[in-house]
Amino acid sequence: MTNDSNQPRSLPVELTTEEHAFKTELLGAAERLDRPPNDLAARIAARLPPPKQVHRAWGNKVPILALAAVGMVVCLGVGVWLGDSNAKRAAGSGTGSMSVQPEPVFRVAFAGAAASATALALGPCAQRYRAAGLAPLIDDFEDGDSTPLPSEGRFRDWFLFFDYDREGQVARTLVPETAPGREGGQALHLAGKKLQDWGAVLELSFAPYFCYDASAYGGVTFRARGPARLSVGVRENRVVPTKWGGTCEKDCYNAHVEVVELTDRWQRYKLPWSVLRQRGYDMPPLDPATLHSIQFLVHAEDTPFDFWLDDVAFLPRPGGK
Amino acid sequence: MSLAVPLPCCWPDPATSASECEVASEEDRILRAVRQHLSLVFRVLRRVGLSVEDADEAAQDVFMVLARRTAEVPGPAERAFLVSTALRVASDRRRQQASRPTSALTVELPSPDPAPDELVELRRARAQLDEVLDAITPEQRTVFVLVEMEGFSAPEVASTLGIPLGTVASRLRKARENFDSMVRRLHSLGQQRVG
Repeated sequence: MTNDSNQPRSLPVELTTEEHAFKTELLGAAERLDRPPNDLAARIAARLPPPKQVHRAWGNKVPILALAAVGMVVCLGVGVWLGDSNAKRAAGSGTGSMSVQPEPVFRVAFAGAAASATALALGPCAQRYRAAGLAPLIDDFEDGDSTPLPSEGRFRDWFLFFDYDREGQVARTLVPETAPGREGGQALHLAGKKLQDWGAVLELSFAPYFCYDASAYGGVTFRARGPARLSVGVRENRVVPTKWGGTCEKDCYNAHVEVVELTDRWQRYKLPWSVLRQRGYDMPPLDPATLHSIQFLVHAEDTPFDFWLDDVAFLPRPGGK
Repeated sequence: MSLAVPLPCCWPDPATSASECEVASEEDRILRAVRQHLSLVFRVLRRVGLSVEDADEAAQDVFMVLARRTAEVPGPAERAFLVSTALRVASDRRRQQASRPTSALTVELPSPDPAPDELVELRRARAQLDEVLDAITPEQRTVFVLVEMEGFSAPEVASTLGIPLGTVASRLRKARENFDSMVRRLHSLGQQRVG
């Protein structure tokens, strides 16, 4: 290792043109490669403590039962918590209290194995966000970013996941663009070449680690322009794996889906909850009180693709306000 | 929603108090900070010497620190706070690395953009850059990374690191000399191999 502080000073020598080009090459490599993994932001978001404004599904009638259940889970979970090396580091930085506080309970819930215990003890949707039905617009992309409008407890960004085949490149930066045929309005543009494995999915988790109660609404709606074939899915908390903020442990990902064929013209599509169906026979209808996320999926067989998305919103409930 | 505009109350339920809305805004602020500064934090962690795998974990730790201390960090100071926290977290991790055996397994996270041949070349160049930066003392390296690679001004670096402006200037001068000297040496070695 070089340390010039103890060496006699010498005049710096200018780099030759070739040496300068070499230096530029090294710095350029860092510019290209030093990028966070695509899912790192999502993983950080998942580690954040949940917001404290929680509406209990059972109202305020059974807080003692809930606290008792929480206490049991904490007793079980603290062992898991203390056994986890990451958790130990967190404890070392000042969060090692073993008192029964809401926050550690949720951290135990995030820790994997204990999550199902917590979910069983409290019921999968004992903690939930409840949309009041007053702010149906989820995102119109006019703000130019990938964050939905912060309404009714919806607090996560749009994320795009896609398979990594060399032949397929999907627009990965979710920056809204000026939409053709929309008189200057912005929309989200997603395009990709042939994908080989499973495809690409644009997803918005409403409030991960909670159930999102959208029963004040009657479905979802959006404007889009293709051509493309989209599987529009709404996922209940129970079909999402625990590691992504749901409560599912096996046979997960079975969203309630409707396939939509986009044309090459802007159109509004309306999907009442009742048209969204799960795979399989005799599957239950969507329970809009227990939502996790909304997805726009393009299967690999439907790639290449090129479509625009805009004005994603909830539909009013039939007969509602 | 503009990044510059404070969040409105995000919970139109009449039963929700103003303080609860503030809690939600704090969470949103952290998520915005993640979106705005994650790339910077990750780059700094990599460039002060952490592996991809360590930088991944360290970046998470950095934002968890912000989540714990949101109330203490005014908005305009957020970037400096995250960078100085990243430097501390990286320093801690390097100390831990020094006291544990090196794993033979290097985790390479996927980088889908470059073509495979180009990726090999980029990784070779990136490894050489690490070699160059490793030849600079950690103090000089930090200043060099922030100024030369991240575009911080000298006063910003002084403020972020809590050191006098003159110290920033002298570390930067030495770092540039050492960096160029190492570049020259590596380039010369490369030429000899080619020859």
